[in-house]
Amino acid sequence: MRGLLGKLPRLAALCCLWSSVQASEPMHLNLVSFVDAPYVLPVEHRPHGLVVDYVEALMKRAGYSYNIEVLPPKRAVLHALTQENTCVFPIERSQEREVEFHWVSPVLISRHGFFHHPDKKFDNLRVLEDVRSLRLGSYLGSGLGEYLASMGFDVDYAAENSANIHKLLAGRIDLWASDEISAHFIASLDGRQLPPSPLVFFTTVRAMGCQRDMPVGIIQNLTDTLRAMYRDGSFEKIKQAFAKRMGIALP
Amino acid sequence: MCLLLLGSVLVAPIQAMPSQWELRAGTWLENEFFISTLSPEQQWQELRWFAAAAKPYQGMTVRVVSERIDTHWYEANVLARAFEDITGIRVIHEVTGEDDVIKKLQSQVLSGVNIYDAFVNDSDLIGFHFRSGETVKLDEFMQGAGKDVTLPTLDLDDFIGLAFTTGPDGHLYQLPDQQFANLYWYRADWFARPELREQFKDIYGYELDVPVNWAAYEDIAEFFSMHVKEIDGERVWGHMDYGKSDPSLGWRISDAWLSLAGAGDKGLPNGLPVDEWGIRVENCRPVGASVARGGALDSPAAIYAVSKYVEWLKKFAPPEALDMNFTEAGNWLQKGNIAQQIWWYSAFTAALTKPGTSIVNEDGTPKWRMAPSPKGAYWQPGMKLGYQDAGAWTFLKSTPLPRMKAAWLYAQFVVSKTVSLKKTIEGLTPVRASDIESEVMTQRAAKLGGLVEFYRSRGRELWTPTGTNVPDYIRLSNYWWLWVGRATSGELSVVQAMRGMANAFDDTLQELSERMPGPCSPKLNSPRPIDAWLNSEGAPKQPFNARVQGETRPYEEAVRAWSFR
Repeated sequence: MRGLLGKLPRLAALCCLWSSVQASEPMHLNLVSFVDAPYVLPVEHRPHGLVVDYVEALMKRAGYSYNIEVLPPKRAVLHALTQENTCVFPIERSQEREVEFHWVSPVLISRHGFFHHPDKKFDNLRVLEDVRSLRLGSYLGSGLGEYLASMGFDVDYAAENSANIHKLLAGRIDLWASDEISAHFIASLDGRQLPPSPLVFFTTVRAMGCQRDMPVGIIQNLTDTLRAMYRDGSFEKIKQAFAKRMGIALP
Repeated sequence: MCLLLLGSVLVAPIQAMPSQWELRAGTWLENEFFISTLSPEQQWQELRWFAAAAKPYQGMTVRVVSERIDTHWYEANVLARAFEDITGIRVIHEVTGEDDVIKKLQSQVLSGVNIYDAFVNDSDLIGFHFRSGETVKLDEFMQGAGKDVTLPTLDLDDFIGLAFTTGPDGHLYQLPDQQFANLYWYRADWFARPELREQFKDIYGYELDVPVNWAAYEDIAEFFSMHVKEIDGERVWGHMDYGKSDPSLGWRISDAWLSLAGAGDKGLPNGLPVDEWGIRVENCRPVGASVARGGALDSPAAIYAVSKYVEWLKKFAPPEALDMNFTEAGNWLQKGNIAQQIWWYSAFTAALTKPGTSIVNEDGTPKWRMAPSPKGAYWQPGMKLGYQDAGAWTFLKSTPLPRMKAAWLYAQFVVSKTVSLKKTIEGLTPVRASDIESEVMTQRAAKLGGLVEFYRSRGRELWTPTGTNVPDYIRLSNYWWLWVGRATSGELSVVQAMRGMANAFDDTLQELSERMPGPCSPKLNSPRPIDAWLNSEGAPKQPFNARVQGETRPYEEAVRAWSFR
């Protein structure tokens, strides 16, 4: 047993070599995601959205065939933990989750801010401590909500992020903590326009988490391709095309 | 006095400044930066310089990120606001987990997207920064593109940690922002109780004092966990650590366990030619981590280190510790039921000196002390004495120059002499010699458990961060917790885990030799028979199985070690 374990990294290296060879052949990856507008949203039973556009372009450039299935969030993560050749996106690469997946990152860089009722003014927000006395809206399962709660802020959780626009307008929360793109998109679906966030206070980096048994050569190939697509402006072009299609302004 | 200060400034040489600026700056000096190693006039001069240098960047918002400790909360919520009032540059200072900071830095390096304008990044990554070609050389920046935004009174010689952030090429890659050390922590009040001292001497034959070696630490751990068991009606434990398999487990092991066991070679700061990570270098080239390639990561000393870590965690620590991480275990000491910790991060000093807790006396002095950590069976004089963390301002080349210059102004502001003494009082993570030697720190020393004494000693130079041998900290640090976590859980034996980790290190060094070209690029040694290396001088060392006698020293004598090599 000890001898076999000692050889494991060598076997991994061989796998790496093998999978590099395989990468030149068509290979199929199962991708799972969850509704997270406007990054992932099913339209006529097919997944669409900004991150879907990113991932599809990545798969094509890296040379893999793929299918994307949209599942409830927890099921999507569980699926990628247990099913071969499966990756889930876009998920936060947290310390606790680090060991569970092979990572292809970043597939989404988001800025998060506080949004307020259009009729109210919050010009005095300069640092995070300035919201200490306010009621902040988030949603169940949000890493951002947990981050704020862990620092003792008063966080009110909705079942879904989209409910927060209504809570904000009804005065049930003082500020809505959300990533900028989602907040403006959700508001636009409701026929409203939100003022710019007075305090964009946090950044998250989301990734694609792949099942641990996925050959490291595939992960490396995807990571190298991702790097190239950032560096040659491909992702920026996809983002601007998406914004034009959706009629929204993206930072 | 404060009104006088303001008045004197209003009539002196700043008449060109707008009066609103004078009022804002004066308010900060009066209400926040009222303790400083500078005179009020010198403080005004610094603030005037910041305001003038920042003019081209007024109205800009810059974004920086750092780990989640008291010092950075103070910067994010107080100093960022002051900086905006004084310069007109807004700063969003994000605070998050250390692992998240590193992943974000990695994302910016990979993507080239300017996610942040500056990072406060641990100097443990210096081996990556000087090899990667992605990090700005600050010495060149200060003389070149950043000359007009470099504070004339920055006084680099006053920074105690500059050696940690300088590469082997002599270039400065990072500017220290906060530092904390890894030291032995113990309940001085319990160790002083006559009945406990007598009981300990009856069982072990020597005094209950600060342990000099691991044998004594183990005896004391056993004494409190197995013999004393309860103090004042509360269950107590002779050891504290953590075992949850996440990145903070990796830091725990790589920071100190191998170095204090004596796995590396003699020579500061990290051991030469084999460092405290078990990596051998030739000149500046990493050539292997496994014993077969001349490293020490799977050597008898490294296996001894991790075996003791696992054994003590399971035998002497609270059962909950097995499933805790860095933050959870750090908070646990406040419960007041731990007798000692082999190495403890002095960044927790502020939290453990809060009045009203069970580990602080009514007069505000702590019931605990910090002292040099005990050494393992393989340790010899001349080897690394302990770990120190130096979070330091780091700039990536992917950041546009105007944004970099604005962020550089903020970085200098939060370490400027105008504000740094107040910041040191708030976070207790000093970076300037002038602050440490100040009268203010002398007055507070009795309430800080030994922190001031440590930072006034040569210990501040001898306790060192991860060194330049580690070419890619982000990738290699993952192996520590992935492999040691499997030993902690019982999935693998310690020997299996260390062999697997050493081979994984070698494979990564091989890969980096292709991805990271340059004169200090890794280049693996060919494997040799293990005995050939073990029989050679220095690390990796032959197995050492003799029982070492426990040895302790009174506190006053133990802390003298901070002053000697």
